[in-house]
Order: sequence, then C-alpha cells, then structure tokens
Amino acid sequence: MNAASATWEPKIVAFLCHWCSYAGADLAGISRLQYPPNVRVVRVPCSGAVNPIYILKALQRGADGVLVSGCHPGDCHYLAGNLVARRKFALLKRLLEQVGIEEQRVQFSWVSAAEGQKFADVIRKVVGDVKALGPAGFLSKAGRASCP
Amino acid sequence: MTANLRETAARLLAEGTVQLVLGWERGTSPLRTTPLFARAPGDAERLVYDPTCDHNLSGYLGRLKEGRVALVARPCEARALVEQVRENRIARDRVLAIGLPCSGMISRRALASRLADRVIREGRLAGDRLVVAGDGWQEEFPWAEVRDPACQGCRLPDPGIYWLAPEASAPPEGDRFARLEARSLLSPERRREEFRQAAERCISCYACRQACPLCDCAECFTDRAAPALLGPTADPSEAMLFHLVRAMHLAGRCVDCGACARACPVGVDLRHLHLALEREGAERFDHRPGVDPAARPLVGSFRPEDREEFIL
Amino acid sequence: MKERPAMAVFLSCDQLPAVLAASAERGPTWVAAGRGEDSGFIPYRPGLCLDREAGPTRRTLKEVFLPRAEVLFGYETVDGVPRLHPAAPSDLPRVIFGVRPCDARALALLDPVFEEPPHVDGLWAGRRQAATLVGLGCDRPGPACFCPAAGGDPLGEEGLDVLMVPVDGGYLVRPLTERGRAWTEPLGLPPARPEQLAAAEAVADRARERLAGGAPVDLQATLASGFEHSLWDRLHERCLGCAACTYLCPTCHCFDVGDEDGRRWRRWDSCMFPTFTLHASGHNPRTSGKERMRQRLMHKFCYYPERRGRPACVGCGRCVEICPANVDLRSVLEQLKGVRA
Repeated sequence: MNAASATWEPKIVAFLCHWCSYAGADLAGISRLQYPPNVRVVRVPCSGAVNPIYILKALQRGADGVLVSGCHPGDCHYLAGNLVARRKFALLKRLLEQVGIEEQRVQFSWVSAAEGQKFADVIRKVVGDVKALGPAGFLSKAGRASCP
Repeated sequence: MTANLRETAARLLAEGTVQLVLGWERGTSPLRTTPLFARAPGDAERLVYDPTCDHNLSGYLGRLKEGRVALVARPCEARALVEQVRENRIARDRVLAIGLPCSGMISRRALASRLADRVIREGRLAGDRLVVAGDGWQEEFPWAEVRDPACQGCRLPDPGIYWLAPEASAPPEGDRFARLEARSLLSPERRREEFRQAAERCISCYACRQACPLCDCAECFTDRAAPALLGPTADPSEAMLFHLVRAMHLAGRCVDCGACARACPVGVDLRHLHLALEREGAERFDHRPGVDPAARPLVGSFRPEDREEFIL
Repeated sequence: MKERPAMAVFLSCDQLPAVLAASAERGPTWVAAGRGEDSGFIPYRPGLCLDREAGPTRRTLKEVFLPRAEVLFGYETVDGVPRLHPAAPSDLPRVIFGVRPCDARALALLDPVFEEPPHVDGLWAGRRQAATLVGLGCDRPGPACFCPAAGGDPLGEEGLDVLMVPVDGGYLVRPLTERGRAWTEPLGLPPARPEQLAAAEAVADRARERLAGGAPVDLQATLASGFEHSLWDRLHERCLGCAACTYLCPTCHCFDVGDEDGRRWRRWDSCMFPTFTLHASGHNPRTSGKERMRQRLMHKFCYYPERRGRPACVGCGRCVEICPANVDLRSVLEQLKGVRA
C-alpha cells in the first residue's frame, strides 16, 4: 500500500436507515461516545432502499469503504425492507468477490436506535478494516477529484 | 428435424393458430444464422435449425405486435420464456413454444480461437462434423470441440412451458459451475486485473444488454439523466459499474444462455459474474432461474430464516 | 495521367521491425495490431509488428482521432469570475502504421465534418495535422468487405501518406504525399524492381476480383423519396438496437457532451439508442427501432451524400461481421432499392 502514507485516513460512506441506525448514530453522539471521524453519513429511508449502485458509485467517487446499516430483523418500519436488503447484500458480496474487491470494503450491520454503543463499535471496526486494506483505488476514477 | 419444424410452422400459420413464427434462417456469412419472422406459411421454408443458431430469440417476444406467436425454442429460449412469463412480461397464452432438442451451439469465439483467427471463407456442418475453409486451407473436426462453454451442463426448463415439447433432449453434460471452480483459485489481484482489462476493452455499445432476453427494462439505468448514474467519461470504472449493476439486476433472472458474451463485438465475456450469482442463489436461497413460472423473485423476496452471518 | 509523387521503394519483411523501431524513435508511432475481436491501433512497443494475415482491425482508426470520450475544456470560478481551460489534444501519434485503405478513406470522409470552416474542431484537426498515415493495401479482402462498391479500392490511396502493398518477401512502399516522403526517405530503402511493381499490380487485380459484387450504396435519390415506405416497418425487426455497428463504424461520428467535476466531456453517442433524440420534455421523436435504424441508413446513404457528394460508408464490412443478429448491411441496402416512391 504505497499510497497509504502515514497520514492517510480512509473515507467511509455509511448509508444509515432513518428509523434505526441513524437514530443509533444520534444516540452515540449525544452519549458522547468516541468513534473515528472517517464516516460520511447518508440517511436513507430504509436499508432496503439502498440500491447496489449507490454502494458502487460511492467507491467510484472516492470512498475507500462503504457501510450499510439498517434495523434488526423484525424491527423494520416498513416490515421487511431490511430482509429484502439482506438478500441483495448477500448477492452483492458474491459479486464483488468475483471481481476481486476485498470483503471488508463493503460491510453491513443492524444497529437499532438504542444501540449507540454498537454503532460506535461498528464504525471502529469498519474504519480499522478499511485502514488495514489501504485506499480503494480499484473502482475509483483514476486521477479525478473525489468528494471533499 | 428441420423438415418437421418447417412443416409444423407452416401448418400453424396456415391454420391461423399463430400469426407469426419466430425462428432462425440461414445468415449471410459462413456459419451464421439470423432471426426469421415468418408470417406466411411460405416463409416457413426458410427456417433452419442447427448448432449455428446462436442468438437467443426470446428477447424479441416483448416487441412483437402479433397476438399469438410460435417460438422456436431450445432450452435457452424456453428458460428465458419461463422468466418472462414469471415476470408478467409476456402473457403465457400468447406464445406457443415449439421445443427442439439441443446439444449445444457453436461458439464463434471458440472457433476463431481454434483457427487462430484465420479468415473463414466457407463453413458447413456435415452431421457431427464441422468443415471450415479459408485461403488455401481447410479443416474438419467435430463441432462439439468448439461448443459454447455456456452449453456445458445445460439445464432443461420446466416441461410445462412447452406447447410442443422436444421429443428427446440430451443436452451436454457436465458441471455448470465448473467455470467458477476454476476461478476460485484466482487471487483477488488477478480478478481485479481481469475485470479491469475487460472494462478497458468494453466500448459501451451495450450489445450484451440488447442481446439479453431478460435485459428489457423500459429505461436502463445507463440512460437515466437525473441523476446520471454513469459519468460522461471513458474511465474503465464506468464500464465496471455498468457490468456490475447489470449482473445484480440479472441476479436470479439470468438463465445463462450466453447471448451476452456471444454478442460482444470486442470479446468481453463476463458470464462468470452472472454464474456466481446464480450459484449463490441456488446454494443460499434455493432459487433456480428459468425453471418455475410461479417462483418468487430472488431479489425482492425473502425468507425469515435467510442466513445473515456476514452482517455485523 | 496521375503523377507519382515519388518512386516506389521495397521494404523486406526482415527490415520491418527495424523500420518500426526507427519510426518510433522519431515520434510516437501507433501500429495496427492483433487479430479478430481483440485488434486495433495501439502505441508501438518493441516486438510489435504488422500481421499480414490479419484483416482490418476490429476497432477502427476513428478511435485515435475521435476518442471514445475526451475532455473538451475545463471550467472553474475564481473569485467569482468564470474561467475556461481549453483542452489540448494529448498523446498525439505522429505515425500510424498499417492503416487499411478503407480506414484512411473514412478519415478523409470525416475531415469536412470536423474541419469545415467556420467550425473547426481543434482536437480533431490537431491530431490529423500531426499524423502521417502509413497504409497497408489489402491483398486478401475479408468475406464481408465491399470497398469497391462503396467507391474505394483495396489499394486505395485517399487519406494515406504512404501506401505499402504486400508482395512476396516484403512490401512495395509508395510515398503519396510530402509527409509520406519525409517518412520514407530517411529509411534509405532500395528502389523497387520492375517485377516487384508488377507483383503489386497483380495483388491489386486479385483483390479486386475477390471484391466483385458488393452492395448498392448509391441510393440517395431512392432513399430521399422513400422515407415513408412500408419496407421500413419490417427492415429493423431483427435489429437489437445496440451500438456495435455504429461504434465500430469508421465513419460514424456522432457524440454527446456531458459535464463532470468541472470538465466538459465529449463522448461517442449512437443513433441506435433511444436517448439519442430524447428531449428534455420527455418527448422522443424517434419512438422505435424503425425510426432509429432508418436514421442510421438515411444519414449514411442519403443526407451525407446530399451534403458531401458521396455516401458515408467505406465498405469495410465491420458492421456485417459484428452484428449479433447478423443484420447484413449489404442485404439491407439491396432491399432498400425497393423504397423508391
């Protein structure tokens, strides 16, 4: 990872479901829990609304890793959006494997509105994993400006 | 077999059972065929059927205006038809599928590679043998040597989809997922390199999408303007995104007919992406595309007990 | 009598690698390389050579002068003042080696499109002015070739600076322009012997014999009167609506523009796509494959000849070879003879 200088910090895009994980992130914040500041949060109505192209586009436009987080099974505000998402993500993982994209680049979690601590833990893990992998590079647009 | 097919087609048209028979006729280049839209009983004389029929006909069904049509159907067409019916893209009673036994088709890519890309001036099938000739050379060998890899371990579709089921179909045996087994040894670096090369080669002509019997969205995501999901550049990442999203969109729907790879004018073959998703669908979710017209879609449905070991 | 600008010289097969290396030393040199679906024009690297057996490359010379996508200009706002940064053509090839006469002729057909005043396309013109085209005559035209019917010739010279004709043991090299002479002379090749000149003539005769037949491209008046003919309803039926034929056509040159990150891009576009004519309102004047295929054929064989006096087709046969559904332009044109009102 020659591009990974000592100062390099990964950029993580986190798609958080409005009803659970986003509230979980809020709780982590108001509880003053510490977690790495590498995450850019995108609030989505439901993890089931995350089209795989959002994930791929994030990697293309400069993210080093992506996290998608939704409600625990049974807690979905729309009853089963997260269960539909679960299948989609299982398939996406297989697809990314075929083209050599490391498993830890794209991760998934269930975080409820009451799990501020879990949110902080998940972020710490994802940031640590992606840091160990180094910059994404592969899907990203070579030499072009990425999101600031 | 061809005589029987012509006779059946002519009868269906003459009796008015169907307004159109969709099949193949001889093409203009050696070993090529081209789709035939037979509307009069006389047209049926031009129907041919042999391993050079390499284009999947089912993709045309959606744009036909005729009320009732007959589809000359190998297992590839029939599996695609199952999916089209399952997705309510085609009304089941509009299509009479004339099932034909199939022992695979010739891959022009495999043939070109076997002949070291020499120019073929003449080609014909003589029974199981293929005779090809060019400038000062001629070769003859069993055509099965240049059979499309997609044909290996062909799955027969649900017999219920046929109007006239094939009498005896003995598709090529083998393990359909053998291609994936071979790939499982590749390192991630090697896979990235391979995918990058394919993306650099891709000219975004979308022949793969257009040739696919199941890539028939009214508006493809590539054509979205607001938001534009693909950029205006020729960066390989644009082609990568296209092929990955196309694979996701075909998850649980791709019937592995190989039409995409055969259509590509610059030799990109990414069928392993579709195959990997098909295997995951089968192993993890017990889903097999192209078999059951009443099946639930793979993506968009769920079972409460779906495994989620990968979720934090 | 056509005057030969310079005497023909002979280049033996053994000398070819050295000639390519020498050319690459004088400036970036691109070579027609590869066979079949993986062939095209690529920058010279040691070991790369011409393949005499290979037909026309799958990817066309057009890509070198009109890349699949390129930046037209960059823009930004500095202290509230908008600023433009025009793009300069990068990676200019100085010599392109192994150009088939059909591909060179296609460039000559495109020149007026991009260079006719007052709208001169700087990127195209810059690349064109920089390049010396070293052609390779066709001794064995492919089964889909029909250049004579399209007004070309297997040893055609239009658009080329040098023409090489494959003969026994080497190539007859004939400079055609000042630029061609400047490329050929430093090579110090021996003059061709009379029997080599005769052999080149024989190559031409054999090739032309092979290319008898072809396709009726002279359809301007017929098409002009047959726009509404019912034949169009059936003609497009087998067409899948992909852009393989247009993107790999040496004369198709339509493009779209789009912005990203402060850059204005030009990118190939195809009349075979529904988005080609999609209006911002959502209306699309070309509603189906019928209108789109008609446009492609009308542009090549009616509108272009109306403006420029000849059809925008060089008979390279690529569209015939690559069409996934085997829609053969030659037989389509044959059928189109019937649309005359």
